[in-house]
Amino acid sequence: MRRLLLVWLLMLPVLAVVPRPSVAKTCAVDVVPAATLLLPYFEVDLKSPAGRTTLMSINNASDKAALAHVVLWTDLGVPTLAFDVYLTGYDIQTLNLRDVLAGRLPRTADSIRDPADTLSPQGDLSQDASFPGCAGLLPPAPLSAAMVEHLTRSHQGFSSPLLQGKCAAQALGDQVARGYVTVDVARQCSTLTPADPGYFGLDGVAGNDNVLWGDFFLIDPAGDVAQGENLVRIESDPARFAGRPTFYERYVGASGADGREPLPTVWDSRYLDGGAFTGGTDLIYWRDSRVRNQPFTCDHPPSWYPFPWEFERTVIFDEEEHPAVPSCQVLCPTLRSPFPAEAGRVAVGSASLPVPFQFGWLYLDMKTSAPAVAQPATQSWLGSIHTAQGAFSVGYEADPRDSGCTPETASPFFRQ
Amino acid sequence: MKRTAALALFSAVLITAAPARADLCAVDHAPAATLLLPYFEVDLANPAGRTTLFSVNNAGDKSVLAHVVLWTDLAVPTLAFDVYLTGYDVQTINLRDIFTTGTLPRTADNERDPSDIYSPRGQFSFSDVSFPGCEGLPPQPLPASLADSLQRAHSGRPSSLFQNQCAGVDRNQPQVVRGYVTVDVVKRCTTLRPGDPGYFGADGVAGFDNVLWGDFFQVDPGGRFAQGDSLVRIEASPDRFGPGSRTFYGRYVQGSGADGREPLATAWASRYLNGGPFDGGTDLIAWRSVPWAGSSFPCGTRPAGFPQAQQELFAFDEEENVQLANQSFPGIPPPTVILTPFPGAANRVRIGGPDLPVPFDFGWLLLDLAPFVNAPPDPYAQGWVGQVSSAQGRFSVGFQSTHLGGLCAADRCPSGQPAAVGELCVGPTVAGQPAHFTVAPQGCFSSSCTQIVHAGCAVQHDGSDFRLDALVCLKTSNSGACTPDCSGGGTARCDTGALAPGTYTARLGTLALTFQVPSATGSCVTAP
Repeated sequence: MRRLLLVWLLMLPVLAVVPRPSVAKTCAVDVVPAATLLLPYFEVDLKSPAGRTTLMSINNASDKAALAHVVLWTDLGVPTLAFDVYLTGYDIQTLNLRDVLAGRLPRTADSIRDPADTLSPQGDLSQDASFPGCAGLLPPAPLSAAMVEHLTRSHQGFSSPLLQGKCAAQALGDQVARGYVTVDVARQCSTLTPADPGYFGLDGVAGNDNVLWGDFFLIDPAGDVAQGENLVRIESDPARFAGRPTFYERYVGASGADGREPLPTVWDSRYLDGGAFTGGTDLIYWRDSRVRNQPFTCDHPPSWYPFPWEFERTVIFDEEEHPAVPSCQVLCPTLRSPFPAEAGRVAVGSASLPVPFQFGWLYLDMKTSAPAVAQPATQSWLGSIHTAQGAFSVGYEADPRDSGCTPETASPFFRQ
Repeated sequence: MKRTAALALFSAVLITAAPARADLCAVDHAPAATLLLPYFEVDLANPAGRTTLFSVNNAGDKSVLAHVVLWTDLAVPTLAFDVYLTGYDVQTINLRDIFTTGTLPRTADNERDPSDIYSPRGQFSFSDVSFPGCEGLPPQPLPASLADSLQRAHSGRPSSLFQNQCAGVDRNQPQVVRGYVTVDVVKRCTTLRPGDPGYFGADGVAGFDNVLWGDFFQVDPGGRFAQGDSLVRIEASPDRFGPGSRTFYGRYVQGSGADGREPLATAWASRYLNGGPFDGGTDLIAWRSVPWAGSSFPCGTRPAGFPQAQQELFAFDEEENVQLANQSFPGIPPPTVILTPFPGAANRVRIGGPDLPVPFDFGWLLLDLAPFVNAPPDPYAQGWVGQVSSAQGRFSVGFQSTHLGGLCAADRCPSGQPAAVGELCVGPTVAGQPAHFTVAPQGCFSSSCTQIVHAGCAVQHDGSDFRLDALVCLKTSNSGACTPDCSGGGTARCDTGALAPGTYTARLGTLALTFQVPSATGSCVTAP
């Protein structure tokens, strides 16, 4: 082991000066510690153990112990699994979604359940603690075979016995499990999800400390490509968001009880299909249906699904600013959005998102007028992945054009 | 050309796009007045080797002029040129083209390109315009001698750009050029750089429109690696930042705040991986402001202050075991050996390498890029940090690190002390006109004994409300007799945009001031 040229004499003073998490600067999609992390899209190829998977990390920016409540959601917004991760001060917990879907949850435990620090050791600058409600939940036992079956089937769009034979996701028929993940700082262990009563509020499960940070990687070992990005940071400021739109608004009504900043609604993203990036551009997305989604009878998805394509809210530019606008003149059919679900991945230039140019950028207003979706705004997140076939790829967050706190209400391109 | 039946060109009605919002003091991806490419490198020995691409995009419908400046890794500017962007335009730049063939992007404004040969505009783009001083557009390719001088300057060799002095770190890799790039919105074409007189200020070259966005890619085709991220966005708000404010170009405007640009952070957190799928390890990319003047120096010497250390550098493993790479505390002697993994302005360092010998394979680093305890204080210290993790010969990922601590916190007055807010007032309002706010500090400040270092305020829309951000820095003197008045605290002033009739609430910290439009009288709210 390589040794640093170090000084070890200063431990006590260090305790006083390690930076604390930043003060919340809400309404900006910035990379700061937050009360909620969003993995906007994951995919795990269940055909091959060496196939595509998604890794993520959950980190604690504070010296105090924290409890992170992880919830898996299908790509149609149905929660399928909730579990807790105990983090000592400055801790890191990495997760491979392939492991989670196979029933292997990260084994962490708070002080009372891990007095010898065999599962959650702590460093010299870190504090240990115990949280209520964690008996029987920490350290988590491996999931039962029935639960594993439920997870793998649910996230592929198949019926699940644990959902009384109902479905919860898009059935794309490619043996890829998809969905998204939320991670909330929590005050107590729980099996609740943000969609459940009692999750938010003064006595609720969810906390408001902006201490979580982390990243995620979409890895395709066989294809030799990977992309990484920060988990979306959603800061909490309960005083500011009381009675206002929030990230979890659909679950707390208009109360703002979750205190979480909302995400933007309009995005700009470059696309490339040539030059160094012969593999083109994919977009990964997360969007809010504003519906408390439930399992559904298979082949009868929620009424909002698929989101319609809002022609007038999409502009495709080339690099010389020539715009192309998907449109029709009369008797317009309702077309399926390129972003039909709550989470997904779409190739720019594919049949789902045709573009007439090789290079340029997209103006994408992700709000929707789907009848089943409450107005006025549907928050979203968008990321771009540019790939060189068989060689390399890059991925990063697209550019929000507005703020979830002040959604753009009029397109700059058309009179509404 | 791909096209589907659903696609057709639409004859849109043009309207003016609203200026992009300014969400100050957050490192976010909003359009901005300045873009920073924090680090570039180009391997000139191999035409298929490493290079850096970036794009400069215009988020607005109006034409803008973007002023691109190349800097060495020791923050010496070497080249400045302008890029004309019509509304919603995109200009991509491969830095290899500049260094090898001297090719600059060929764009031109309306007067120099009436037939739209170089800078065509689209249907949604507002009128093509002309900018003063742009007779040199479109730019001609750089002479070969100048391209060679650029190569030499950016690889740490003597360069005729600087009378055969040096301007960068000599890593004994003459074929690899390194540095960083800034891109500013400007009002006219110029060869000035941000450190030159006349660049900022009321009659300066630099503009304040937050309309630029873009991304960058570090591509290594031979190694089959690439990483990409958004260019760092540095938003401008000349109302928010004034004398005494910490700003991005603070060193070049002597702390006047004349650049009006938000500063970057000093404290960052970065994960590192050296194993599992990422057996190629992790590099950090760090841009930081430097304490020395951005000028050339005799080769074989280094600028005073080089290499820069940092205030804090902690290495944690994934079980929170920590090692201190260096630390500083008042009253305690500093460590005898201080690591300097980020010695210059634009840096790339291997975690676990000789410059940053972290003893763990997995974990995270906590950095504070403020000066080390025994270094002179630097009121302009700031930085940006990103990380690149690689799988050997296979793939890599790169993204911005997490920043800790506020960028514009009230405790960052470079001199004087931040004053608590005492009163928020709005003047009489007229429908269709802006509302005018004033913010006064709390307490009584004698006008003869108080120096107003800075008084700035900015307004952001927040739904039907307005959120104000104010900073008043005061320096008080108790020497001599102070006049018995309380008018020395000054006021910060800021305005909304035009307001329709209605009821609005302005919030500043815990203060909330509800007001009507129109109203013949103003109103105030006072801190308890």
